Order: sequence, then structure tokens, then C-alpha cells
Amino acid sequence: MIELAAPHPAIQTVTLLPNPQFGDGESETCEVATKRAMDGTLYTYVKSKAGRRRLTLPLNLSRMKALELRAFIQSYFASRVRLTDHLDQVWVGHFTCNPFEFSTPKRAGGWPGGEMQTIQLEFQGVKQ
Amino acid sequence: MARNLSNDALNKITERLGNEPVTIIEVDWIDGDAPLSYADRTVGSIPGRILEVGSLDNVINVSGNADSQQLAVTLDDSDGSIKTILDSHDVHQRDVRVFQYFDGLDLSDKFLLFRGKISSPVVWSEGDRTVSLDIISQIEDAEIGFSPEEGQFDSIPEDLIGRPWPMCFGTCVHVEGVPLNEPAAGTLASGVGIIDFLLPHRMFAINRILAYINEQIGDWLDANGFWSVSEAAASGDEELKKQLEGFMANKDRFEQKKSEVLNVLTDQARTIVANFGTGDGWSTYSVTAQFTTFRVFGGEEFPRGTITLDINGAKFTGSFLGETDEFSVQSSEHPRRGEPLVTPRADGTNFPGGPFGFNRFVPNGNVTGDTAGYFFADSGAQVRVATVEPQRFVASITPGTVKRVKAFIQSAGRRFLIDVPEDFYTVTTEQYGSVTATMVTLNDALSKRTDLSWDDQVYITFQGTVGPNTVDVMEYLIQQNTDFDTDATSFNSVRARLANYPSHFALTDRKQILQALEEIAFQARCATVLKDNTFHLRYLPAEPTPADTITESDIEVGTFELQHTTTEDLVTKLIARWRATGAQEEDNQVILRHNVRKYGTKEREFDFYIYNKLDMVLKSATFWLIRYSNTWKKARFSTPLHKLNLETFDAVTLDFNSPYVADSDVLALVEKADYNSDSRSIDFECWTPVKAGQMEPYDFAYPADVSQELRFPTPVEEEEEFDGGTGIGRDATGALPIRYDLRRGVRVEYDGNPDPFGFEAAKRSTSDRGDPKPSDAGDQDPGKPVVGEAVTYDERLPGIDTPTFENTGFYQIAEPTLIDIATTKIIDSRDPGGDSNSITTFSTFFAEISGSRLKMATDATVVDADDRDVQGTFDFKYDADTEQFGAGTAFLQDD
Repeated sequence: MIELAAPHPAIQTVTLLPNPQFGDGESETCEVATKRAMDGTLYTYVKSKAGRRRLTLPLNLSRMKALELRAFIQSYFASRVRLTDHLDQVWVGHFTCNPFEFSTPKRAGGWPGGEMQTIQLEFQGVKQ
Repeated sequence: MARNLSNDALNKITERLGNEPVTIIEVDWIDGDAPLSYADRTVGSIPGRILEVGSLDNVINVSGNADSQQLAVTLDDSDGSIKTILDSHDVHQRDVRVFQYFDGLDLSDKFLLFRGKISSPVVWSEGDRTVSLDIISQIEDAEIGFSPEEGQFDSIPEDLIGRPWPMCFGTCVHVEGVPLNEPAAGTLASGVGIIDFLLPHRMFAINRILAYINEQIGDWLDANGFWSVSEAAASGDEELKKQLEGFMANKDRFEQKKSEVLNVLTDQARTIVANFGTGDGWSTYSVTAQFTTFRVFGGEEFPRGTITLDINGAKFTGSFLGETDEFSVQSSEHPRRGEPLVTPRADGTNFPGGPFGFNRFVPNGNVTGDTAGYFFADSGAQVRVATVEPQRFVASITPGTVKRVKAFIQSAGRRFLIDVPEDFYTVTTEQYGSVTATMVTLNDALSKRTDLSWDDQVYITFQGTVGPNTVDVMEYLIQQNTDFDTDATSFNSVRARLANYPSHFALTDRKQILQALEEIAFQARCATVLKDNTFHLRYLPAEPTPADTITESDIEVGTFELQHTTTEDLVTKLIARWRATGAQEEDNQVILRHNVRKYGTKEREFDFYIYNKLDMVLKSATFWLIRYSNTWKKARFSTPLHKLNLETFDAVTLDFNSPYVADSDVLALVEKADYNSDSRSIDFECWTPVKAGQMEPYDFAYPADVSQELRFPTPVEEEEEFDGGTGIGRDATGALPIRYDLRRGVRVEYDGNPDPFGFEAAKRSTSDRGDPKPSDAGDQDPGKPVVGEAVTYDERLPGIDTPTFENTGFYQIAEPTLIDIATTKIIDSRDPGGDSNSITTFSTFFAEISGSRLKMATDATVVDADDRDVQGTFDFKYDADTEQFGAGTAFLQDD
């Protein structure tokens, strides 16, 4: 389960989301640039991004949950958000996907609203 | 001039591995507030809100003597703080500083990449919540100088709006003074005249003669017992009739003369615009003006109120009606009034014995005296104000001294610039707020003088206290017009270099300060560089000191390119325009050609307005000819960030193991240094002093310190005919007529070495080959322009005119007057009308003329002097002993 709470640190709203689908990701945001001179001399430069990491969270949501997430995003997309992932790791950072695209790939019998919606959240933050 | 980095920073940028560069931007959003800093990642208290930093483009301009920098930045504004600033402040032109910082350094070790100003477009994006803006090193800068509309004056003549006041540096010869006022001048729209004021006096004289004639006739009538002329005419006495006809002929003749004068006066009165009246004490003559006003084209510009106009020397006093060009005349004055003219009068003799003890005037029928002539100014005549109109001219708004004032005179269809005598003008210093102006005030408009045909415009030789060293001039302009500093080291160095190349000039345009500095620097063979609010100066002919060395280990693999200066930038025919004085109608030219045979004729003009001597122009023009007429190799490559210490105008030694550029190390000049923070590399473009197709630096690429024995063009270039042009006359020789340029006003004499750079000795001062010795070695100070002593038109006073020598001939012996004293009738003209016995002959008194003597008859009648009634003959007695007459009555009484 994923918990989104915002604005951090004066939390006002918390929303719970299901675990991400298979294929979620966690990556570095820092960069390393390498330069090679004519005589082979190597130069490297880094961009650390202050320990920020990028989380990619593909989610399948019911119609009702999707509307709840949409309302949360609209309220707090510019705010710092605390994210507790399905591994119970706590992150503080910002959503970086823009726009937030919800898609409705199929009907979902028995789900609230009768439809399944998907969204891939991208989040950059620092692990607490 | 390399970037100023701390030792820690220098050490840091040389680290090859794992360096983390951070860009920090400081923005002075609000005037007076502390700057706000942003970084591309959070550094201490500086928030990481730089989303995007474009390439920092740092490039030298086309002319090669100035540079510019530009950077595009996008900032995160998700908290809306920048939008809040934009809502209440105009952030355009606010200062921005871009720093480079490396992780691990102290924040104080960050170093300035460049300082600039916010330029449009400044864009705030609602969707992205970002603010993007451009930063440019220096754009819309300040105008130099002063023109009146910039101040707070009550009224400014239209022609003065936008007209700059001169800024004189060094000794400026014949600077065109800016006239603050001008003499009123108009054109007569209708003819006006003034009566010959002496004609009435001539009429009075004729009247006097007529009066005498009438008196004569009256006396004659009385003497002959007539009551009237008609009675006398009908008397039948032929003798008397002839006498009367003589009297009447005289009278008719003078009546006719009087009529003629009256007719002339009447004719003259037809065009007069002011009443005329005069008298001789007995009679008066007056005429009512036919017109009371006349129009003057351009009269609207004349002063209002009562004024006196001068039209071809005549004076008309009156006033213009309202705001119109119609002049209402109150009185007029003939142009010859005041001249030593002789007033006409009747000529004659005064005799005693007139009535009441007065003398009796007997005219001889002549009227002596002058005529003044009728004055008439036809439409189209020039109209001026007769009273003095002091003329004020601005000489300079830079401090200094007025040495000479000159103006043109017209003569024989040509114009001559001559000194205005010093007593014609005064020199003052006027304060207009923060502007101090040296003024020349003429006592009256020169064009109103009648001695010479003067123009009103004056040309002033002004010796300024700023200059003539060009560096002093640039320093003055920077201090006066900007808040920037000057780099004392580079300025002092170039000041010494330019000591032999003084510039004496006046700035008469309101240029932008950066443009002016670039132009002046260009003409003086220099480059100005504005870095971190400080101007640096570079003397381009001198080989620069290398700031760093570039080897293969510094250049990213695959980025080195050997290029050339572009064909479009070639100039094989360089035309340098210059002026010796400000009074020249046309510019002088120096025309130089080089490599025409190789590249064809590619012409470009340059204005060398800071120099007023050919030698300096030729020196500078030759330098730029060498730079522009050749194709030079350029090295282009990228380096990692360890060469961040280099920037434009830095010299670098290209030290390659392979002969990429030349067979030896090459001292190159950084013309472009673009810093790309994304790719962490710097793109360099370096000009090299190596000509295309050669592998050795060209001797004259940096000519200042080469041997003075080296000659330009080189023997090889001459052999290949790259010197000069390719026209049919490139080898033409011979002698041309000598023209005296100094006298024509297109040359200025200097008081120093007459041939400071050896041009005359090399016979190359006017050849299109250029300065044969581009080296500065051996050059001497030419001194300063010679002001000399003033020579004015009245320096030598004239002698007397040659008098008229009359041809008198020999004295003539008078022929005796033959009269018969016995039969010639005579009459006393004092009493011609006496009784009929008044007519007599000389024989009634004289007996004969003999022995050269007029002998009296002893029967002559003698009149008592006191009592004319006592008359009688004298009692003569002859004494034979003494052979003398005596009084016989007295003898008797004695007896």
C-alpha cells in the first residue's frame, strides 16, 4: 500500500493507494558526464541532485480511487509530498509527471464505479 | 585579463575527476533590496531553483575590438515568489550575476562567470510555474554628451532640439560652434523707398534765387516807371524790352528747375512708408507716406515690440503687427543720413547795405551741394535687425580654453576662413545645472558687418584639458557617463603605448557610450572589454601575454577544427575617412589596398574621426588593413571546465604535438568562449596570427614591437603583387601639380616632429600601400596642432588714398579787358532801378589809360562819404615845381 500525505510537513490530507503494478522503478537522478581529451586524458563531472531519487509507480485504480487521487494531485501538486511506498520507505519530494494522465483501459466488474483506471506516477524525493 | 579565481577555485577546476559544478545566479530583482540567489541544486541556503541554464555565449564582435555575452535561464517558480515580484516591479535591465561554484569549495570561492542585465523576453508560465529570462552583458546603455531637450529649459528653438553640444578633446581645430541664437533675417515682400532728403534743400535754394530774381524785376520796373511786367513789355522801348526779357528768362529757368525738383520729390514719395518733412527755417516741405506697413518674408522670427530694421542700409523703425510678418513703420532713415554731405544752397555774395542793417545776398544763379539719391529697396531685399544682436555659440562642454575663433568670408565666389578679431567676441563659462559649457558670444552677428562678407557661423579652435591621449579621453567618457570602473593596469599600459598617437577631436554626436568607446578604441587600434563592471583596455598591435596554454590534453577528442576567418569579412580596399578641421566641407580620405590580386576588391569605409593628422590615420588604417585583408587561421575546440579561467580577449598558447595550426607554438586570441553547463564543456574559437596557407605566424599580425626595419608589404607580397591594387595605374609615376593642402584647410600643422612615423621619408604618405613601417618602434610624438598667432583682416591699417592730382598747366598771363571808357555804359547793380541818369560811362571819371596807369580826370565828381547829397568836382591845382596836384581851394584859403 502507498500512502500520500501533503503538504509536508504540516500534513492536511492523506490518501491511500494500492501497491504499484509490476514494473515499478526507483532510480538515481544524479548524472555523471565524462570527457575524453585528444590525448586520452579523462575528465568527469557529476551532478548529485542532493540525493534525490526518482520513483516510478504504475497504479491500477478504481474509478472512485482515481477521482480521489486526482483531487489530491490538484490540491498538492505544487507542494512537498510525503510518500510511503509499498516497501514502507518514506520519501519526501514532488510529483514530476506533468500532465497527470489517467487512462481507462477496461471495464472492471465489481470495482467501485465499474471501471479500472491506470496512471503512472513519477515522484522525485529524498528518502527519509 | 583572465578570470579572477581564488587559489582554491583554480585548484578545484583543475581536478579532472568527480568535480561537481554548480551554477549560482544572483538577481537584483528590486532596486535597493538584497539580491536573491538561485542555484541549479540547493547549496547551503541557496535554493536549487535553476531548472535550465542555456549556453553562456561569450563572443568578440565582428570588428574584433569588443565582446558580448548572453545567457538564457529558466527558474522554478512553483512557490510563486518570482511572480509576486513581477506583479509589482519591472525587472527589465536589473542586474544579474552568474557565478560558477564547485561542490566542496567554500561558497566565497565561487567565481563570476559574467555580469549582465535582464533582457526580454521575460516569461512567466502558468502551466510550468517557471520564469524564463535572458541575461545580456550590456545592452541599452547611456548616451554621451548633451543636447538641450534633455534639460529642463523653458523654451528651446526647434533647430536646437537634438543638436549635441560639442565635447572637445585635445586641441580641436575649427570646431563648429553650436549657435544658441541666430540673427533675425527676412526678405522684403514689397519695395520700399525713402526720399532724397537733400532735394527739399535744393528746392529751398532755387526758391531763394527766384525770390532774388523777382526782387530784381520789381526794382527794374520801379526804376523805369512801370507798374507791371506787362506794362513794361508793351512800352515799345526796345532797349528796356531786351532788359526785361533777360530778367524773365532767368525767372522761367529757375521756375523750371523748381518744378523738376518737385516732380522728382513727388515721384519719390510714391513708395515711401513713413511721413517725410523738412524745412530750411523759412519754408517747410512734407509728404504723407503712401504706405504705413510692409511685409517681410520670415518676419515672424523677428523680435516683437519696437525695433529698427536695416534694409540695404536704410533704417525703418516700427514694430511687427501681432505675430504676423507685417511691419508697421513709424519712421525711416535714409542710408546716407549722417554722411558728410553738403546741403544744397544758393551760391552768391553777401553785400552790406541790406535793409535793417542786414547784408544783402546776391545769388549768382548756381546751387551748390550734394544729392543723397533716392533710396529704394525692391522686394527680395534682405531685411535685418539694425540694432546689435549678440550671438552665442557653444564651444565645448568639456573643460578647456578657446584659442581662436574663425568664420568664413565670401570673396570672388570662394570662401575663406579668417580669424574673427578678438574684440568682436567674449568667451565665458556658463553653468546649466550639471553641464558646464564654454561659450563664445559675438557682439553682433557677423553677417551684419559691412566690412567683409561674413558668414554667421563661427569655428572655434579649442584646447581641451582632457586628452590628447586617447586613453584619457576614454577614461573621461567612462567616468562621466557610466558607473563602471576602469582597470588601471590595462589603461596605464595602453596610455603609454598611445603617447605618440594623440587624438584631437570633438564629439558632435550623441552616441551610446559603449558604441563611442568601441569606435574610439577601434580607431586607436585598441579593444575595450567590459568585465564585472570594469572596463579593460587592450592594445591590439602588441603581442599579448598568454593567460594559459592549450594542449591536446585540454581539448575534448573530436572537437578540434581548423577554420579560417570568413571571406565575407575580408576588406582589401580600406577607405579611412578623416577630417583635419571641423570646417571642412568634405572628408579627407586614406585609401589603402592589399591582397586585391588575391581576393578581388572588397571595399569598406571607416570613419577615423579622432585623428586630425594624416600620419595617425595612416598608422591605424594600415593596422586594420593588415588584419582585414588577410585570411587567418582559427582554431575551434571544446575543453572541459578546467579552462573556465579563460574568456574572450585572453591570449592562449596553442602548444600541440602535431602541427595543426603552425609548425611552432602559436599565440592565439580567444574570440569566443561559450560555456555549456549541460555538457560541462567550453566551446572555444581562437584567432591565430597565422595566415591561411602558411605555417608560421605573420610578422605584422602583432606589429607594434617588431623590428622597425621590417617593411610592409613584405618583399614576398610585393613580388606577388599583393601590395596595392590591380588597376592599370598601380605602377604609375610622375609629378602631379602641387596643391597647398594646409592653405586649403584640409591639413593641420603640428608643432612636433614633422614626419613622426617616417612616412614622408619613405614617400608613402599618400600611397595606397599603407604605412611602410607598421612597427611602433621609432615612432615619435608629432606634438599638437599649431594654433599660431591670429591674423585678422585689419592687421595692417591702410595708408591714405592717392589724391586726385589736378593738371594745372602753366600760369596764364591775363589778357587785358578791352573796353571803351568813353562809350561803354555802366550801371550800379545795387541800384539798377535808379533814375535814368544812373547809366554812365567810365569817362565821366577817368580821362585815359596811359603809361600803364588809369588816370583820373580833374572834372570827376566827388561824393561826400558821410553825406551823399554833398557832391561836386574837386578843385585841382597843378604845382609845376613839384609836378603834383593839390587842392586849389585850400591854396586859396592858405593864401
